[in-house]
Amino acid sequence: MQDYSIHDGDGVRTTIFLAGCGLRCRWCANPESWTQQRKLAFHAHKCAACHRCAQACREGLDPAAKDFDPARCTFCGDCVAACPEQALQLACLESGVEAVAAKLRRDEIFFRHSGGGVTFSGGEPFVQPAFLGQVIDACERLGVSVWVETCGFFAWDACKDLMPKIDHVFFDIKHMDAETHRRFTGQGNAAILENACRIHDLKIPMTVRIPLIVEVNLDEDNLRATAAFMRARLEGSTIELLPYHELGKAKYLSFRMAEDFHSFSTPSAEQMEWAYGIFAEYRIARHR
Amino acid sequence: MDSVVKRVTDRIERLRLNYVNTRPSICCERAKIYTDSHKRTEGKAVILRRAQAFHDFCAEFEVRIFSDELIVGTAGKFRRTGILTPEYSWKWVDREMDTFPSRPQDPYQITEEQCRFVRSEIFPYWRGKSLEEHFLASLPEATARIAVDTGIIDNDSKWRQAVGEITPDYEGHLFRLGYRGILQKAEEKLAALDYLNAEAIDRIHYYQATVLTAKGIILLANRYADLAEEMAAAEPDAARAAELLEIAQVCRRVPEHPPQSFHEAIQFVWFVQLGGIVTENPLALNPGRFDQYMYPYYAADIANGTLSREQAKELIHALWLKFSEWVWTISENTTGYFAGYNQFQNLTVGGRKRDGSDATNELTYLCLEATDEVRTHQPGLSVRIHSDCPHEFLYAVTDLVSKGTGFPAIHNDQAGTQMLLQAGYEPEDARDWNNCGCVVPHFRKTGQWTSAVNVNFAAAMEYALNGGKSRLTGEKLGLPAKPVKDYASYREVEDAVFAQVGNLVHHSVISTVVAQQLHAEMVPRPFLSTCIENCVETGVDLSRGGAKYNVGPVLTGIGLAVVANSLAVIKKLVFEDKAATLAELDAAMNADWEGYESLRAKALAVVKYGNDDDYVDAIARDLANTYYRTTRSYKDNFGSPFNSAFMGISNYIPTGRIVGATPCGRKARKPITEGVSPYAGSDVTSPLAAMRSSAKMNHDVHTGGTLLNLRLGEDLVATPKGKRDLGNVIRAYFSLGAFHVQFNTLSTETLRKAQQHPEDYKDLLVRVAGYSTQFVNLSPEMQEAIIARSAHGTF
Ligand code: SF4
Ligand code: SF4
Repeated sequence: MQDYSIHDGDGVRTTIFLAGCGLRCRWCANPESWTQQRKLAFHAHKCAACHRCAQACREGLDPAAKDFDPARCTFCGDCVAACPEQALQLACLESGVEAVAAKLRRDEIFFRHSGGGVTFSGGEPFVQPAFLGQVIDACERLGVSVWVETCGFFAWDACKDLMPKIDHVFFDIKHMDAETHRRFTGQGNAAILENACRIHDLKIPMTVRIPLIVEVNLDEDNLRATAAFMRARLEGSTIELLPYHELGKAKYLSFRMAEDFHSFSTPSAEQMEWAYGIFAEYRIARHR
Repeated sequence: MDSVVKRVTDRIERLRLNYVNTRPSICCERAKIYTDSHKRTEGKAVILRRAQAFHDFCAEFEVRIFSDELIVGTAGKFRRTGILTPEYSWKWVDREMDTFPSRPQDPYQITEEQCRFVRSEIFPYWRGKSLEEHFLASLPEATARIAVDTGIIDNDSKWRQAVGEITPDYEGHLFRLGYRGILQKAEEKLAALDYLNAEAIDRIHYYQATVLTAKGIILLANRYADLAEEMAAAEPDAARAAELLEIAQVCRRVPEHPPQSFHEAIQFVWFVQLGGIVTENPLALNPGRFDQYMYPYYAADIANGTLSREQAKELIHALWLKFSEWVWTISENTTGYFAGYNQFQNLTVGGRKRDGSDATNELTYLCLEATDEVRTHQPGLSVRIHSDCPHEFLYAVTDLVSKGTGFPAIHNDQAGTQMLLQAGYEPEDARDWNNCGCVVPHFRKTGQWTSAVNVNFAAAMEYALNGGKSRLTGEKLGLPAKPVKDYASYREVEDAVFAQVGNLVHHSVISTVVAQQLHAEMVPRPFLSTCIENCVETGVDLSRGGAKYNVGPVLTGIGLAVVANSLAVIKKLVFEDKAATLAELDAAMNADWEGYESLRAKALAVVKYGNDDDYVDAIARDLANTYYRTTRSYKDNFGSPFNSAFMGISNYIPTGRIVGATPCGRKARKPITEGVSPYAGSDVTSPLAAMRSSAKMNHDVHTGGTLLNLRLGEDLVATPKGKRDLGNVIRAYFSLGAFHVQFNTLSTETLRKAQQHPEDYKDLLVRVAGYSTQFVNLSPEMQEAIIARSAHGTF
């Protein structure tokens, strides 16, 4: 959970990250949230090689070692507590609805004054519909607005009852071409585009988000196809373009996923404006 | 507001560069004139001697107008000048002046010749006569042991220095009467008085002193007018000559008469400030609610076409530079508490008017813009935010925050009013508050020692946990305490800590009332008393309680978070989890945690104040409440109860230096904590959680002010939305009853660059605590402390 986030919707929001995602976007900045398994991050640059973590581990593991075997780890956190450098960190821990609600109760005063609320992000929030539903119900009781950021790849039937309780959706459309989409994310885009239409048909305000990546989707044909699709099928939705960044790289290293990291190029400010210009031609407004 | 064109005139830029690039110099003129004058007035009433000395200064000091100046007047020969006031203290100057140019914090220029001169011509006269010497001779031994240059309780700014801590009353008094009016009033009063009893004699002396003082300041202004005319006659540049003639005209008029234009009103303010500086070298002589009392002059000049917005801004820039050029001459010990050439001249804008309606006006915005544009460290700019304040104003405030200067100090209007009501003010006066110094809600008809003593909570805790002794020196400095291993319950530990805090309060009170008594006898304040209406009406000096409101001295608690964090560790690890014994903790602290790394890791893992967790926040609140009740149970020499505060200044560094390792995991001698701020780096959750923790203290009872200092990631205020959101975060924080918050938005990266290339970052302002100053003017240790404050970003 991250409070005081101001880039994920109106006002001051608390972003709740739910782990698990059916896509494997090659530029993903949160690879630790691909699966719901608990994980132990190791920030090598902070490590002082003091071996306290290994001494603390009851399973006889050395979390600072290259050959650390996560399969044997119980995620007890003893090594995390023993590390004087804060070089170890547990991730993807389950938290109860009550704990989440307690945090929201504390943040509520800031939501109230800023017109903010909660934004669910991920991973993909809709892959955990039961938990998501419980937290959304808690938000409803607290009178907190709910925004969801989705990659669109989820099973509609399990989630459709949640939709009317959502105030706004950020919907990622990575590419309009199914094949390209599959090449970079591991899945086609038909189900995704269909889900976008269904959400729109329920009249839930929507912002389409495109992670803009030079090598992947920064071409005129694709942008025009996206804009045309929005014009035709997502009437009234707005657009937000997010320039690709490499800040996720550290996470690939910390979570020992270096081999999954791919480097792409960040679009320039001019390219961003040019891309927005295309959407403007289709009379699609920028997200505020 | 984003589109404000950033511009200062070439003149202001030259003045600004001079201010940024010049090291302050000590001028001995004032000390010489005052000393010679005192030699001539032996035997007279002290207040008359002080008034005569001021008059002599006004008559004899060689006045100077420097190139480009629009607002004139300095207290010494130099633009950036510090003065010596040996009647308060001289011994520390004698001890330290040879190292003034080389000391790490706030160095001053002084020549060997000057040093020789003051040692032979000035100091011998004051031997045995200074406030410092009398104070040290009067203080009971038990108090002196912990109150004199110890870092345990510290009030040296009240016996090595004048008090300052005054807000001149322009609106209702000075601008109404002018010094001619004050002079006439004093003469009328004198005519009706006779030497019939002690009280009448005191009043006669008071009014005679007022006459001398008023004549002095009028004379000084006219001497500036004479000089300006002379300089105009010799000035080849016609434009500058015309300016000099205008300066002459202005100085002929003010402060003798009520001002008739914005320019005159500004010069009036500076002459009053100058009078205060010359007489007292004061801390916290506050310009107060500048946007309120100046507005009528601004509005009239704009309406009749004699002033443009840009011209007004240039005059404000010039005044800001004046506020910043002079330096408060202080000892090396004091610089530890008030670092950064800071004079604590607090200027407050926004808020409500006396009738409760919104007070923001065009000048409010001009002040914010001026602070961004000239980037001077003075005045200390404070804003009052009320629940119905204009959105544009709040936006201008967060926009200024985004510039990373640390300005402004942001205050909750309602909380300030509540604090003054609590202190016994009438409702209209309570709504009319301004800040004094850093974060003390104050009012222009008040005499109060707003920063009387710093009380080191962490030292008190150390005595409770170490048998009454200092862990670093073994000296017995606290109340007797039993061996730490004998405490049988958490409650016992807490009670013992609170009792030691109570003991420090007790000695703080003694140290304060002894100083108060000596101030009334030895250093009456004829000049600053002219700035307070009730003094002039009743004929009673400020130092004797002449103001309408005499509010009790403020005792500032330092280290609230360190003590709360440490008590939480003891409660959790020792008495709840039984993960350690008190004896083990004691051994670890004696070893400064060396060899106890795993125990330290456990201590660090216990939740810390500043993360919105009641486990530890409740301890902080109990401690704060107990401190409030204890301080309020004492009364000062005017019968006013003492006040509690959690404010800042840079006192958390020197106070940390004398405290050994603490159970919270802190190492020996490291800084403790300021105000109601979390321990540096331990408010890991978010600024919102830190705000919620801080708001749990009952701010309204701590009428000496509370301070929360936070660093914000630059990206949080990089966009208009971010600035609006921050405004709403502030509103939310204030709705919880909190009084103050201030933000540093510089990235660690920027600060590191400034450390490596100080020459490129001379004008980089940072928030120290309750005030801002040039980062490069801080000692390396202070710089590290600033960087260590956890930066809250969004990632
Ligand atoms: S989390 Fe527990 S089991 Fe896993 S490496 Fe750390 S100490 Fe060992
Ligand atoms: S305890 Fe921390 S610093 Fe020490 S080896 Fe393990 S990860 Fe590195």
